[in-house]
Amino acid sequence: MEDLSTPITVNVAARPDALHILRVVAASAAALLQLPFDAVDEVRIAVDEAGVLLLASSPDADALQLEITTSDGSLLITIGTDAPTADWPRPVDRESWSWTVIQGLTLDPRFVSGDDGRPAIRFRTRPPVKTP
Amino acid sequence: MSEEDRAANDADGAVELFRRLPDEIVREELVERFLPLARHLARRFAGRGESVEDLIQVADLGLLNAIDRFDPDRGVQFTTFAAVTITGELKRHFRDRGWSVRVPRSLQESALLVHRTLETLWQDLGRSPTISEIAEAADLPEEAVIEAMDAIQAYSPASLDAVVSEDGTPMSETVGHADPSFEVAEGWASVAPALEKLPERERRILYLRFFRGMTQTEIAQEIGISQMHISRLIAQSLERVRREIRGPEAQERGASEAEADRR
Repeated sequence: MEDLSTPITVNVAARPDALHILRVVAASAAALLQLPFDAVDEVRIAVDEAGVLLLASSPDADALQLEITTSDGSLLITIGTDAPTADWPRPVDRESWSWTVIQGLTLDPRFVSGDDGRPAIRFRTRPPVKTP
Repeated sequence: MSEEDRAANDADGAVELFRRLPDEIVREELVERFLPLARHLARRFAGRGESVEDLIQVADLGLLNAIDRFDPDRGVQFTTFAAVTITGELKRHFRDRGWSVRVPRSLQESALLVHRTLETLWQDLGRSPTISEIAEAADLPEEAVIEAMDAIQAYSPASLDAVVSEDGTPMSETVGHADPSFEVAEGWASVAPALEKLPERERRILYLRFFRGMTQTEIAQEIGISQMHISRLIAQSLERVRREIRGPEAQERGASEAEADRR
């Protein structure tokens, strides 16, 4: 199995139409780990949902950042914005449909606050099922 | 090699025939069985300055070479081996004539090819294939497979929002203030009415995926439809729930989008 010795970091404009770039990057990283198609599929959905949630909560953001590292055969994915938010996550964030979907598709999803209170969402992918 | 591996490597049922070679009748049977594969590959190289008849000849020759060189004990399925050999012959044919060997494909073509390859591999392997396995079987670069995934699925909750932006209302203004529909949503409990509107099968799929934690492959086996189908149904159902909880305005938008899709 391949490992990412250097984390992948991508910045895109904080716009819905830039989310496909993050989806493709995350899917490529998942492919490097030889995750099965269904797991890659769900990584894309989770990244998209995280992006949607962050765009909704962070209207002043100019950029969305995606960071991917590997740990124990799964991906650790963090998506955040560049706009500090004092109140993160708000109840509406926790209760959002996006968060519900993310919780269902990923391991250990959590809301995190980065540098200067920048809002972010972090989760792990399912490790690949051992094949004979 | 275990019996299981052996069976997986003989999904096309060719091994038994190969064991009966060099019987000329058996050889003919093999040619006949795999000729459609050769023709299919030949047509993929059409429109590149060589006549289809020539390409078919090259591909047929490639098939004969593949039959002569295939070793049933190597643990590779004949279809895979033949596809690689035939494609190699076709590429060499172009290279010898100074043509570019790249087969241009539209995203849509790749998407169709990935879809079909995924179904086949899923059945052959009995599990979800990896992206590299799909890329190899479909003879596409891995990045093309990933791009195709986006095209196949067309899953994007954000695309709904992008439509709002087109009305002239910036995304940030629409969602920056407390979106009442978000407040209504409180995990699955609060989306129950939206879930109720899903067809029985889709509800069951979401239940198995999100509450039972089954993988798409396991659900596909349980329900008896392909994994690709499960993948699409999950994506579509999530979007439908989203539309429902976003209220009538979003539903209207969804309907007009669906209409646009049909056009």
